[in-house]
Amino acid sequence: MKRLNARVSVMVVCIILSFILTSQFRNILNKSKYYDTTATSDITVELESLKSQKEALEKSVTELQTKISQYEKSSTEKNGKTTQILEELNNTRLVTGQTDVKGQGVTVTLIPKTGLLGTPSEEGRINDRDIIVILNELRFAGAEAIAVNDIRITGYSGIRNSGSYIMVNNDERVLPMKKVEIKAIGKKEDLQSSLDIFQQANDFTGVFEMKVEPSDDITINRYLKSYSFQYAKSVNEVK
Amino acid sequence: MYIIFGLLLGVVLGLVLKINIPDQFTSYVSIAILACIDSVFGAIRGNLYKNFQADIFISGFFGNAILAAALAYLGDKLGVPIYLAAVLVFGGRIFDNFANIRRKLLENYKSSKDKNSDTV
Repeated sequence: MKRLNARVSVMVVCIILSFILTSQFRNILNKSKYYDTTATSDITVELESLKSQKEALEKSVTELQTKISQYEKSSTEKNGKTTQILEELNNTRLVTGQTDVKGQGVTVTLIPKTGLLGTPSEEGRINDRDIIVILNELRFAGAEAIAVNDIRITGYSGIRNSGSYIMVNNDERVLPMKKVEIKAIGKKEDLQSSLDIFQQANDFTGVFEMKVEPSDDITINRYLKSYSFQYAKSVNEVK
Repeated sequence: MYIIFGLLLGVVLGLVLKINIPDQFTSYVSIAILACIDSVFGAIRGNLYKNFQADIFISGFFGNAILAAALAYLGDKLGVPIYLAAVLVFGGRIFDNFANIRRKLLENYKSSKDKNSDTV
């Protein structure tokens, strides 16, 4: 009787053990189905193709713009009156950031503080506000063209935190855990001295390191998108 | 015989009954499984050494599983990986028990062989 009891108990235990084992196995197998690695590789492939598409489109934009400038040139050669208009047009393009520009200026590098093991710490995150106040300072010091991580800042640029990124110009992303490079063209002495004063007035040392390097040759790429105004109309036009 | 029948029945039950263990509990169940396997190895050893006691086996089986899962849960809440203690102890004991089982089986095999050769 005792022996039978023992056998039955062992059997019951075995049933329970193998039952738990199989259900756990099934659970884990199901889970690995959900997190299929092929999905991520698909996304990576798509990303790559979109990147190359973007590059191709940017190339065609440059080609078309050179064509436009050729047309402009040829039309002014035919007609002397349009030279003044072209000059004005070029000036407007400079203001709206639609041409590549170069000249003297400064490069401001913001390097976030890293944690103990070289990992980015949460306090070391560069914030949208930090970039905005630096841009503001540069503008006051007379910067004529500014780019953040090679993203051209125009009169219509917005900068703000968005999740773990900083969005610039609505769709370009800046990683706040890595270093951020701000390029500005203007009178380099003015830019540097104003940033020096700014640095002494604002203490960023706990958050990131700020380096200002003056240079005689800074190139800033143009703003690639076209402006489109939907709501603002010229007053004269409306009348 | 009973053991194999029990294991098969459990597998069939596990496949037929679709019990879904919530994701956050899977790690605790794994620890509990480890404890159960340890108990089963203990039982096999006890059987071989002829000192198997059903009540000790049953209480050990459930008690160890529950304690291991509870410890893992507590460790999760406290942020201390206490489940490592369970993994170490049960893992060590499984190997220990297996070594004992192996020796006993080999001894039995050898002695039976000797007996056979004596009679021939």
